[in-house]
Amino acid sequence: MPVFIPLALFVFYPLFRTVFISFFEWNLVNPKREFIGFDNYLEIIKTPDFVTMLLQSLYYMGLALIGNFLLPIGLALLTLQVSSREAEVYQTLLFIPAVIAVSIGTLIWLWFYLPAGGLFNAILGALQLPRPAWLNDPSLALPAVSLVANWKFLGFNYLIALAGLRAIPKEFLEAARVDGASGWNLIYFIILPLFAPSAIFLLVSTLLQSLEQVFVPIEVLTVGGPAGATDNLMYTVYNEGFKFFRAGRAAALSVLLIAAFAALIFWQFRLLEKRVSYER
Amino acid sequence: MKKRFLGMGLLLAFGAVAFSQNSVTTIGYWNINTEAFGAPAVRDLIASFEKANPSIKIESRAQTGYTGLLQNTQAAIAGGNPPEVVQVGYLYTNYVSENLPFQEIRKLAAQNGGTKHLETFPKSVFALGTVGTDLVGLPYSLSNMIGYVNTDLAKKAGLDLNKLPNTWEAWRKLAPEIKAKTGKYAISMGYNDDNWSIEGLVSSNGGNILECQNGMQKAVFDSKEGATALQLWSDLVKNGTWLNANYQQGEQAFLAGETLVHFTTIASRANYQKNAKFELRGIPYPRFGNKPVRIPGGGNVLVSFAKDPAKQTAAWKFIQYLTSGSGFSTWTKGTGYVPLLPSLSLDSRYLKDFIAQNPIQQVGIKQLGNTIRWTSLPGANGLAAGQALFKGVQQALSGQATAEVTLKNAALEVNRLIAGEKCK
Repeated sequence: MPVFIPLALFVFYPLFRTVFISFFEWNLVNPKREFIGFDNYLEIIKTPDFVTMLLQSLYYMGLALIGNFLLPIGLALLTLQVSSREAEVYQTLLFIPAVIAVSIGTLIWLWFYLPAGGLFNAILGALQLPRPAWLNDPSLALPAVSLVANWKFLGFNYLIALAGLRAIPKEFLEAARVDGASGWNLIYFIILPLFAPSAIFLLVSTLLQSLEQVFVPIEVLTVGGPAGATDNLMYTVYNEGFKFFRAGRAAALSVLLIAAFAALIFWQFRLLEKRVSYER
Repeated sequence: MKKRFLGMGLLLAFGAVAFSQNSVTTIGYWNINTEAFGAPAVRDLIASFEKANPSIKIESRAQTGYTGLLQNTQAAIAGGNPPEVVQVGYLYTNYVSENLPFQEIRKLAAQNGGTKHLETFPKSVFALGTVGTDLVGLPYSLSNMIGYVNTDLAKKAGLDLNKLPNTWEAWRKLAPEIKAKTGKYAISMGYNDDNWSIEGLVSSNGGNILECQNGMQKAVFDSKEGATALQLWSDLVKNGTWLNANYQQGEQAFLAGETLVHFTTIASRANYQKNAKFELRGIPYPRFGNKPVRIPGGGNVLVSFAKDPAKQTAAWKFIQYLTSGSGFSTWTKGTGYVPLLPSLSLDSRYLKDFIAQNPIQQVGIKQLGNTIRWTSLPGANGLAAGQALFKGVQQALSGQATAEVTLKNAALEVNRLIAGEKCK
């Protein structure tokens, strides 16, 4: 019961309220709300930008998988190869972005990306290379924004990966080495299966948080532009709700997003229960 | 006994503090005056107002751009805690009138003995803040777009400083030459998602953003004139002579000496004069061929959303102070906004001497005759409609399609969003 009260208040009530609002047209200010049934959902699906937004969201998730899942695991595996003193140095260096406020970090990157007078273009200019418009070129803007989020959250995921790898009992590794396993065989047959629970957690949390973590970089660097090229589903929820004040449509989009992510979490539980081998 | 006295003393002290806190009315003043855009002037104005009105405390909150400011205001109203005084851009007066619970200025003034103050304004100025019969906000800031020239770069490019180009066609022709001689961008224009910049180009080329057709509002910026104007901008971005950058990036690049001419608001004059490391000049907004320049008047009205009577009174007092002769003078000197009361420019107690000694300020004042009303997209979807136009502009600038195509698509979307909106 003590757990149920905060859950009901802070999780279930807002959830049901969101579903309820999604059936209305409302601007958050007007005391009158108009019931419009499933129109908000139909409008969203019919909008040509919806597919673009969906694809861009997947693009962000894909980049997050590289930057905040594969890269941290790779770096963690490399860290295991160095002495504990060196490992401490690498851990500290990689964790620095995690302690910088995301808005401050993004502002630093904004200076890197400035089309004229920015760090990257100054370097490229000095090398007589073309100076791209990092944040105004639709093909570059999304990866540029995503890179900031990856930089910010890499260190945290790296520590999770490192902790997961270090939790593997040394006896297993030693036994495998005695049996002649080494290099890639050791990683593939021994380390990765034992690391799987941590990896699955890291994978799902990276996917779930990928759209949220990129929110501040989008707002500070591009505001979703140029021409919507850096938009994603979560940023659109914010736009619809708090920029265009179409609360019903924002709620409907949130419901769709929650449904998609709930499926992902369900998949994680199923996988952890059935497929992943770990000590009981 | 001692303890009892001490207790009573503390009680009295706390009571006095509580009383003094209760007697101070705190109001929020939300504005667009960031540090580089008039914040020092806002601080001066607040300090002198609070000195003269010790029972009122002003909490200033600045953020970039009218769109975001309005969005945050609406969110605060939805949360039941509205700011008492807000700078609302001219383009959003319709939106506020139709969607938000504002205090009508004439009524607010009448309730607080301020009717006489309103009589100091010419009637034409009131038009800037009027929707229907309501004076939604008191006009406060007025700006237009001028060109700021880096004369060091202009000399390097071999330009005659007394005969700088005055048409877009001339700038277009010269831009590649400037880039070749200086290695820097010829032109930049600060643009936000409020469509101020595109409206200047479209209107000066003879087009319009919105028209009244058969009693209904219709987006017409996809006209031949509109497309030609945006295509010029897009072409120069494509050939690398026009820096495609938003407001802050454009400003930063200009002050860093990366562009020869930067078109933006006269309200940035004080900041540029303070921070430019080169000799700065101001030039009028260029025209298209022989067509008259028509640039939207930027700036804002002061709108009150105060709910509580005491806060309404405090809000009015503050608005009255900001729009007094001395308030306007501090404002113009600290920013560059064109004085709304023409008499101030002729009065040596206020701005006469300052303007005489400031040729860049004179450029903005001389362009008042070319200033048109900034278009306000109507209806509950007005904000989304503005974003649709902005998206079309960005698509053209990033070369995703021609200006003709992107504006056509944007006009379709805007007309869908404002469908059924009657002319006013």
